[in-house]
Amino acid sequence: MPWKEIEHTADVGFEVKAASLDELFLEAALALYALGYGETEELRENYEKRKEILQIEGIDLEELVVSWLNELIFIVETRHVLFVPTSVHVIAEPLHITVEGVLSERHGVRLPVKSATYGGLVIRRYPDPFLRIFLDV
Amino acid sequence: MKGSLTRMDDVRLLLGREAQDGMRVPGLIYADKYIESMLEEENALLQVANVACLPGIIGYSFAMPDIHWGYGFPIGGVAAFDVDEGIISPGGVGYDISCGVRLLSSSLVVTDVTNVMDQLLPALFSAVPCGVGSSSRQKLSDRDLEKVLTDGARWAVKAGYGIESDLDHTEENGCLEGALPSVVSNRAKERGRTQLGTLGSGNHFLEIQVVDEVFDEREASKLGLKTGCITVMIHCGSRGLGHQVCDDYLKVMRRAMERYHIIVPDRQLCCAPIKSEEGEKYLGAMKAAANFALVNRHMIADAVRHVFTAFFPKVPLHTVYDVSHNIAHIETHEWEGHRKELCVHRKGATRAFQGQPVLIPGSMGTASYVLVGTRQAEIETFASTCHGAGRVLSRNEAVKRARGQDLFKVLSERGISVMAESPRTLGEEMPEAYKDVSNVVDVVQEAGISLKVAKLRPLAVIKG
Repeated sequence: MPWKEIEHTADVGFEVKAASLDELFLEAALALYALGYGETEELRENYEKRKEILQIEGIDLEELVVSWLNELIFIVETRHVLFVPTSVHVIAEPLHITVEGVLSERHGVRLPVKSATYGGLVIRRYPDPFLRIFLDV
Repeated sequence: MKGSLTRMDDVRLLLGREAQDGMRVPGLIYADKYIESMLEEENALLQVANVACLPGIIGYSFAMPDIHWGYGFPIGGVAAFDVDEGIISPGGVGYDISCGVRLLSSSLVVTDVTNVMDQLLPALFSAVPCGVGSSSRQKLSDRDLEKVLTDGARWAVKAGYGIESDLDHTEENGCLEGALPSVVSNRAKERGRTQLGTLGSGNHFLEIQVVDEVFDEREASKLGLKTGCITVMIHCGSRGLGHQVCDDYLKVMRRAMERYHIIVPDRQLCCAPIKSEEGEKYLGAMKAAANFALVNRHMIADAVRHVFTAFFPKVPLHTVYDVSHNIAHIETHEWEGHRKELCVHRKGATRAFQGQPVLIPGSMGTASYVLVGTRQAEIETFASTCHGAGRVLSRNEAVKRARGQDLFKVLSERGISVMAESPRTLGEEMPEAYKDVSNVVDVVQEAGISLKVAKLRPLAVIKG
């Protein structure tokens, strides 16, 4: 498992290590789904045929990752499906990510995630891509 | 950080300005020895110090005895800012804008409800949608949503929910004037459109209680509370709409800080001058989200009333009060001998002007309290007090400690019926996950910043 849950008095957080920034964003989404909905990697196999492409912008990496996870929360809350990324590309100038993904049915709820936050946020590109983020639940 | 703490008296700790570079004012933490022993959570103290660094802060960076680690501000954090020199910060209000409490009272007694609890509780559970992503039975039109955001609970009464006198017993009479729906994003509106009248999840709850003890007969009588009578408490906020407003304006503030040359020690404290375009827009959007929260609690109360009317047709439920725990208000206070307009941020804290009802929900299975604000609060804390018990255990730790316990049975043995959307939530919200709310309330009483009126004991709880 490339991510691990970390403790917070009121809420919950996770850390992710990955080989690249692209993979870091992808794994962050899967960590969110695992924590929020108890979904495992298998959810990638259970999807509708429809593909979608998302573009998320950010003024810096911190904003980009918070916006990314909040976009996924927004989709769950308004469309009642999980957007499962199949490939993520981080583009530097101007900073944004382009994500291809598929829609997956949401099966349950483990923790009711309401927002990704900047509190205690760490995102590092070098030497090894790393993310620590806390979720408001 | 703890080395900079000085005990001023039995319930006050001073966090000196030497605790961190850039502190413009000291911190003042309301804590007895019990609360102090739980201040090991360094991040909460660090957050008190961080708030003290914000431009235009007046007096102290306060922390109430239910202090714990939040985002930007600590939970239990209070800070007042000069409207000319100071800032407004979404992190000082929180994600769940105007999360708060509504209390209803009745002349019913314990046996009235316990005799029918097997039917009453499921009826309430069915009438009030709860759980994450729970949807309302109605989807608001654009026009109605605009009216909700502008008019707050006044819209609800006109639309046939609740009664006019409910507004007299609601903070700001059920509507924050100056809300600006036009600066609430379409994303926020989309999140909120189907969530009005829903309880949500996490620590939000609906509880049937009995007035277990009255501490101040005169104040209790004014509020329509007497020993043995049944009350209903509703704890929830602005749902996804409020979260989206917070998230949207954190981005706006991040960009504004460059323009106004503001540096903050924690990005979650992103802010803008109160009298700036960005500050005024956030204030307008925050008020709109607060109005949404007021309507949300108002409509849940209306659903509760309908259920109670089916069981007890001749016994009305009166609104005791409705008050927010996460909000920034522009208020006039006395400061250094002058009346001064301030922006008071209360993040996990309650407004407590003299005589104003203060509603303090406990944790599941423990008491809740009704207090009133005091003159001392007006003088000392810009009319603010605590808001609840305050967590001490992480959710995982709580679930771990709850493991092996049948919480339904444990609570049932204490005379408390429970229905929950998620069994895991029960473990996370077990009473031991929180500080002793009685102790928290005793601290604010001893400090004189609010006075106990009544203690409410839970009989039945609905958790999201």
